Amino acid sequence: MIPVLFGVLLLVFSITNIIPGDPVLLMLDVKYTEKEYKEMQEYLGLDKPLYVQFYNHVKGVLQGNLGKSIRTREPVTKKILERFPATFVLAVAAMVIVAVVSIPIGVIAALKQNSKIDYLCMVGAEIGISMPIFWLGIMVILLFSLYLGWLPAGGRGEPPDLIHLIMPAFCLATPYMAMTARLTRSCMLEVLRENYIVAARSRGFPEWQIVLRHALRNAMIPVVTNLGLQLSRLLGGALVIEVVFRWPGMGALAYDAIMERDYPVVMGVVLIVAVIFIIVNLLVDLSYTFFDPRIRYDTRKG
Amino acid sequence: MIELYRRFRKHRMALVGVIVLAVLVFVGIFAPFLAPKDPYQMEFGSSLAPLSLAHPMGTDHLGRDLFSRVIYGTRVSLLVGLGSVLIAALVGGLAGLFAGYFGRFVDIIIMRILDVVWAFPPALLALALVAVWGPSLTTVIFSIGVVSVPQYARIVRASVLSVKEKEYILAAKASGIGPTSIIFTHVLPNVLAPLIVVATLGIATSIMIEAILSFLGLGMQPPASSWGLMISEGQKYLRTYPYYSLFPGLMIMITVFAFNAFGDGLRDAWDPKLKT
Repeated sequence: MIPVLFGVLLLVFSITNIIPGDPVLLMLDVKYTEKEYKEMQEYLGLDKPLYVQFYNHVKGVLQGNLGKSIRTREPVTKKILERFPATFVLAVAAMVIVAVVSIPIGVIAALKQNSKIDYLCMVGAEIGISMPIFWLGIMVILLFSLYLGWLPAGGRGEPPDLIHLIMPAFCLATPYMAMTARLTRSCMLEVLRENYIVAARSRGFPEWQIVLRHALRNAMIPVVTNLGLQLSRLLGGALVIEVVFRWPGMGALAYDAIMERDYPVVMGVVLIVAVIFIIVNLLVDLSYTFFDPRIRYDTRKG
Repeated sequence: MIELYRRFRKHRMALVGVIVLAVLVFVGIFAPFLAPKDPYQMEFGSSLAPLSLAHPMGTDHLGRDLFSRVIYGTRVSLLVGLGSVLIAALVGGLAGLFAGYFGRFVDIIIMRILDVVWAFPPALLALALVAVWGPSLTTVIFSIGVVSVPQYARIVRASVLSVKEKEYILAAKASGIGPTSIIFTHVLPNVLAPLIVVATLGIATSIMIEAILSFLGLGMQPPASSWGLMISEGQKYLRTYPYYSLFPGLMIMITVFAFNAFGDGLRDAWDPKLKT
């Protein structure tokens, strides 16, 4: 995990350094003297050799310092922290929708395999995966905000409320709902073929008990761990959903920063999202031991 | 092969996918003959015109025929999809082959590097890369290719690991054949099936990322006729002229659907157990 984190830092640092345009010039007025240029270069730490800059960058990141915005000169960390809660709420809401909607759909589809319901669910899932979420967002705004006038078209509300959350969360959830429903279905089908299910059936347990107690519990292991991984992928999708719905989160922050060529902010967001992914990945790996006691990362006996 | 075809034919959704793909490729190749108008020809008199026989999908804010632009958009999407997947499958496939076959530190180094790329959401990293290289068709293809590499490396590595200890490989080794020729004549053919499946599904993902990049303004640049770009331009006229965004989005959906269905069909035909 540490080498990967280091690699992530190195990659983001390189991207920031290769981006065309001199950050020193962006910080200065149009008319500047040679002395002012030197001072600004020194202030930004850009007069030092690259490896020293990288060392300082890593040191800064470890202390929670992601540099300063070129436009507003505010610390990037502060800007990201301001926006993080909005993105977090959106991602968690989408995750809840995914879990609540797609797991039952997947289970039902598996129990009624090859029926019309199954076919309908799977075609629906296929369509859900195929829709670009930003386009879906625009279309639901068109339908529910502009034509029907039921839901607000964007923003988060003052103060933040649930009604503003509905459309962005559903749009963000759509492709993941589809994937999770498919995964639940295939895991469920696999488990239902197992011997212990056949054994439970032959002992005459009621069907609901077999499904809930024996099948679902085992089918859920890959589904739940996959949900964890999706949470971090959701953050990538949130970027474009936040732009469509003018949701004031990290994605919208990154987008505005891209438009203003404020690259320290962009790279700060990219870095944070990657670090979150690595941490969530680690947690998911650890959670396997919780769901399946046969897996152990401990090499000692015990 | 016949067995493969028979199993594939039973997959109804995949059949639909193949037919749609054939049509899309045809449209992409023969776009200049199929498009009724020049997609870059502006007619300010007829901007945002109502749907008619002359303009089946209407016109955009500069009076360009949207139907023709949607047809030309097929080219962009297919080019980006195929191009980036070729790059990713080639680089990722080779990386996976070597990592899986040689193991040990070769494996560790290759997979660690790819884990770094894997840690970023693909669209976000592609966005950063396009920002570095400047937006154009080539840089979009390259960026999406780069961010997709780990996926291919992982799947190929996993299949290499599963065939590496088979008798025929050991026999080849025992008869003194060098590692490079073992990899390409004995290992590669056996990992090709999963690679092709992932590549087919990967085209869908690449097309989606291109649409996202173009929608955010860091992909194809105006006046290119890219579907993502058209949706973004149409967003400004949503209230009065919804067709502008509607049709390009539908086209993305149909294309991605077709590639996904085709890929699923291939996967189920080759190996019903192979699930992603």
